[in-house]
Amino acid sequence: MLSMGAMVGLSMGSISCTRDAVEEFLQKHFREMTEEEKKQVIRRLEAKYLKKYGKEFHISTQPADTGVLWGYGLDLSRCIGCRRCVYACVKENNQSRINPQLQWIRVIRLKKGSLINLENAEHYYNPETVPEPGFMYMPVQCQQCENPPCVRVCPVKATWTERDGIVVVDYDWCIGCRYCVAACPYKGRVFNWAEPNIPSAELNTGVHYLGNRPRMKNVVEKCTFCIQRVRQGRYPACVEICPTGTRKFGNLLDPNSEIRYLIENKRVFRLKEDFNTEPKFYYFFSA
Amino acid sequence: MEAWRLFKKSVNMVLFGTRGYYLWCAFLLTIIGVALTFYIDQLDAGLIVTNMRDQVSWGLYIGNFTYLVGVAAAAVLLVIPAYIYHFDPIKEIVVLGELLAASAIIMALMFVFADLGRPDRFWHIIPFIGTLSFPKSLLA
Repeated sequence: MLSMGAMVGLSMGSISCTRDAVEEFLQKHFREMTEEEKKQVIRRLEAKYLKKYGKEFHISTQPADTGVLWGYGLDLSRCIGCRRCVYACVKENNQSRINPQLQWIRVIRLKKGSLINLENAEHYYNPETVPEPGFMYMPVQCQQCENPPCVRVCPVKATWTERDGIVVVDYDWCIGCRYCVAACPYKGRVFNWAEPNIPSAELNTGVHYLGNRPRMKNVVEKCTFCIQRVRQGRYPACVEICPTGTRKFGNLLDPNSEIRYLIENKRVFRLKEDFNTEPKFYYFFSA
Repeated sequence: MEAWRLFKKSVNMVLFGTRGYYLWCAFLLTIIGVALTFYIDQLDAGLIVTNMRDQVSWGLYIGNFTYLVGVAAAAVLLVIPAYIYHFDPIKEIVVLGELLAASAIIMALMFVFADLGRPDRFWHIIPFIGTLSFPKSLLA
């Protein structure tokens, strides 16, 4: 095993044969680590990030609370297509800014009255001002499915559903085969085609191991409902930034939560329900 | 002893030949060498050099992989008329078919390997050492 690693290390040129490199190579699957091992990995990662970005990171491994199942609501009659959520997400979650430019939220533009016709949706709309008359906007991101196709296809179990319903990726276990990208019907997953490119000054240093810690090249990443925020009782960044109150967020198991009220009182639908993916992301019209 | 003699004989067959044979081998080795430099490029810069993006996340690598798997399967299927239905004229071709199948399988595996973003983590997929998700993941 080690000789293979050394071989790959030599051919890649970028990995020197230090103790950290060996530890990184042999790092276990996140769910198979003991608490002590997790602490060691976090220490090593924090040192690595400090060296690489010159910033002090705090990597949390906070587990899910019991009695919590996160659900998301999106009011289509309010969305104006301003894409503030997209950029708030990029900033909060340390996505690569340019070459490659990664975004976890895609806002698509649809002609009014053709909501069903997703094939004619426009992702790259770019008018002077939004909203444009005659159009409506539909933000799409990871739908945090209860029956996620991406998790089923992963050949190395590098992605799984947490107890609070969030589908997460262990970036240190992913082998970069992109099978999940092919399997997801919502284009909820994006791939780091090259080394992520983030200006040091714009880095968010309050990170979660399974969420927004800086990624490496050739691994897949996705929306985690801002796992680093929601596990501390805060709203995801996209909910917080939205100027029109389009985005709602809450605990599906709490009968008094906002999301439960919406599901019970509005005409909600879920995207591509016929695939039996059981998304926890509810679209609705309030007006 | 028998195996050793077979090995020696095969090595002789591979290493010695006519001028045309050497030229052909040199040509193939050049192609392999060029491909290897490109592969090292890809390891260094990431899969971005393939010009694949999220919209088209599987490209020629996977296309070639599925094609070569088909070639290998077809070549192996020559066995059926030869050894199950005892259709003798085809038996000479079966050897060729097996050779084609073996080389196609090797190429197919190499294409999948080249398509992996993190070949340094290949051990994650090895059963018992890593976490192979079999049979849940269809292609694993």
